[in-house]
Amino acid sequence: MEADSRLRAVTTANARALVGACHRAIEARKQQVNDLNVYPVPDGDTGTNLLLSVRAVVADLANADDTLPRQAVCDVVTNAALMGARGNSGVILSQIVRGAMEALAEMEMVSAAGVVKILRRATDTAYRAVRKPVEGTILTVLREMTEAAEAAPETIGLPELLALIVHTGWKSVERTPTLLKVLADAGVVDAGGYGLMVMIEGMVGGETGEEGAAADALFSIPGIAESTADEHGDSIYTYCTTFLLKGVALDGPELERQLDPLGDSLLVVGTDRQLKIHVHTDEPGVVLGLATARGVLLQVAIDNMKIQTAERDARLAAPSLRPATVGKTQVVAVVAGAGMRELFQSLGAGPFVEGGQSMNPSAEEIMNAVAAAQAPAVLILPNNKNIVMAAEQVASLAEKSVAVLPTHSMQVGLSAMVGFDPENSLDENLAEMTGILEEVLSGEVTRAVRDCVVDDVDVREGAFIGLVEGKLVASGDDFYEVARDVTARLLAGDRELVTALIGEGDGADSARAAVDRLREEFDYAEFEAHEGGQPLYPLLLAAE
Amino acid sequence: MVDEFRLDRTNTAIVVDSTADLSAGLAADPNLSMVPLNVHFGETSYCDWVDIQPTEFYARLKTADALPTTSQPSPARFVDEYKRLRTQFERIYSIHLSSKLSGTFESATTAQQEFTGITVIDTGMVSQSGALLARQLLEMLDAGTSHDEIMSYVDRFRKDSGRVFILDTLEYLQKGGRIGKAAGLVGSLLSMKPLLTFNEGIVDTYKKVRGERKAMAAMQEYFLEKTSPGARVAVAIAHAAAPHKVDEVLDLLKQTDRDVHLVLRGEVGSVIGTYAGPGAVALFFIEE
Repeated sequence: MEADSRLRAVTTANARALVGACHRAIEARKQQVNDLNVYPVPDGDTGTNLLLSVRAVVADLANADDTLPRQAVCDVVTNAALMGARGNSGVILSQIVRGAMEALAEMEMVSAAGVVKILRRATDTAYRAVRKPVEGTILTVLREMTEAAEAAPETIGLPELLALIVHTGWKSVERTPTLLKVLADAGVVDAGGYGLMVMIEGMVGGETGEEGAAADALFSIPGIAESTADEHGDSIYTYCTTFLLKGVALDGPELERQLDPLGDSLLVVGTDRQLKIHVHTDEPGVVLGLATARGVLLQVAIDNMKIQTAERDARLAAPSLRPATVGKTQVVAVVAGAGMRELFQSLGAGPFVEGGQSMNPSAEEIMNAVAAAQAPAVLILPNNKNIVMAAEQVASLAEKSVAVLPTHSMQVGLSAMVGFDPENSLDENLAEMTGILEEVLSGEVTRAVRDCVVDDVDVREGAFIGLVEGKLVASGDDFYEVARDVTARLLAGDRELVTALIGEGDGADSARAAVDRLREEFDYAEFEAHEGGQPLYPLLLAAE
Repeated sequence: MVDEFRLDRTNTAIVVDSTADLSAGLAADPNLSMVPLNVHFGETSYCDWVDIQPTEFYARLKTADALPTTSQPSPARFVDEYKRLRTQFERIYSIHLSSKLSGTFESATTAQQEFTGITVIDTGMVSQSGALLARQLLEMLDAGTSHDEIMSYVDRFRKDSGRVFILDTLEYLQKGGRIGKAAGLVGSLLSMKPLLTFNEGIVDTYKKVRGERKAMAAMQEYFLEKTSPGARVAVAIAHAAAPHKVDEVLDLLKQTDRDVHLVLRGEVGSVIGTYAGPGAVALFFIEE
């Protein structure tokens, strides 16, 4: 069968085919994986992170030489996974890949015994990389597949082994709610484990003969729409091509069918006399050729997205203008929001990594910022729980002296910056800033993006929710009530200074009004408000 | 031989400048003399602690259009003072604020060259550190001492004495051009209450903190860091239009196991106030 030969020899072509299948599988179910996310907070989505992480591998394989020897193929895949890792799930995936590739590089052909070795190495590497492995997650699923494979008789054939592995994996995913209470409460299986199985099943292909069935059966959230094209993800294609096509009796759907295999993010809209076309492709010439055969082209624009991205990364990673002389240590901070960046910059942070809408930069983006720093030592502030692992990955791979201050939010990172001194060593800064981390409490007010029951709080989609140290503590329809609840908890104990950061967009006005009222109600405390301009969270709070 | 000559109140006098922020009691001491610096509000000049007192100064500071400026006493002023004292006393110790913050030390040094028996001392600090040192030296004179002992004490004071202060705002320090190594603090969009100190004669940051309460706690931390367990410590606390802060600091110091001996409390004068701004509180101390 086709799947058989894909798994037999380690070549660039086989790797592309396999990773391509994996990519299509996770792309199709990205939204489902996102929806398994237990917390109703609008960032840190596993599906998106896994997809973008896999895309990085697809992209690097696409650019790789066709005749690479086996070790080099494995290296390309490992490196792409490590650098493209986004979010915690992306980082764990990259460690799984790293382990798998290490084992794979030692094999000329992949046999049943080889698959067992690959799984074992992948599991060990992944567990070693996670400081506090939690059962009921992707790690458990991987481990249980490995154990089943090791327990299988030596004479088992490759197709049967693969079927066993996939079957065991899905069963393991099904059991994750019994291992993690938060999953049971929310009534879902673990998103990372589910995502892993979607990808593995995609790669194994038609072996099980039940592709998708297991996934569907486990997917317990009703009424989820089919996945839509990913607007935020980086395209693997190079040229963003847009133009107007004017003609007579234009056949939009037919043109769409012809353009579809040439790229992605395809959009063909308009009438039979004028169509607006947008596509990401590596062959803009072919696209335009197809169009000119049907009519006249206007407003043709072809942008090299890779250069745009590289320029943007370089601009964002550029060291902050404030420190005139380079000291011993610099801080690379992940930020989102213009005001937020300015606040961090005023305290001496820089270079920066743009967190984006959902705070999930890749390890490579963080690495670029670290490289752009001129000081010999760099302290990374991930400013989001979902970025800590990627930052630690960068720290372990970087050549200069790099450490990570595990900040879980931007407001905490900002408070920690008060303890930063560029003239101090990396260790001195880490010690001082860790001290601040231990004292400061973080709070947030935002809108729930899904219904759920979390920590005994009933949440309706669209309601305001309040979090303290990342845990949901309040929910309701009144912004101020929720903000007040959060603030009361933040000020319990000895704290008396609250820093409030106002976000962008809807909710910003409510946030400003809330801070004014909080000032009056909690008059024994000092409130300091700044415009952070951060996305998704109208109000961020830090109390010390 | 001269250096072991017994010095006491019969033959030795101390001179300070107005930035020593003497208390009323010290100002009246017969062996202590004060040479004032000047504060200028627009065209009008005032002798610090003579023509203008702190209360009036801080009130005017609030409503002034432009910030006041300061200037040092001329060498001639010191010559007059030294001449007067030299008729009575054989030895004079002239104690002044940091030479890096004011030309006063230089004026005194220029004047001193016309006399014998006068030693000019650069404290490397400002405000009550001068008064504290003067008071300690006067105590030594009470008991009888020597030049070597005095210089030895001055050395210890310059190196080991505690000196820490909190300002309400860095604005005055920065606009007055005396911010020194604390310059990095300016430009922070987040409000700070940094603890400042003197290092090698200029302002430096001891610790960056946020919030009044944390700042006070950090002052206690500094006090503990610079003194030994159970030690008896001579303490001087000055404020700029914020007397309640003196008690707050004193309470925190008394909560420690050190034997706190409050020898001076008072106000930050107009000259130093020009750079500190209202709301400042300063702590100086030395183990006895």
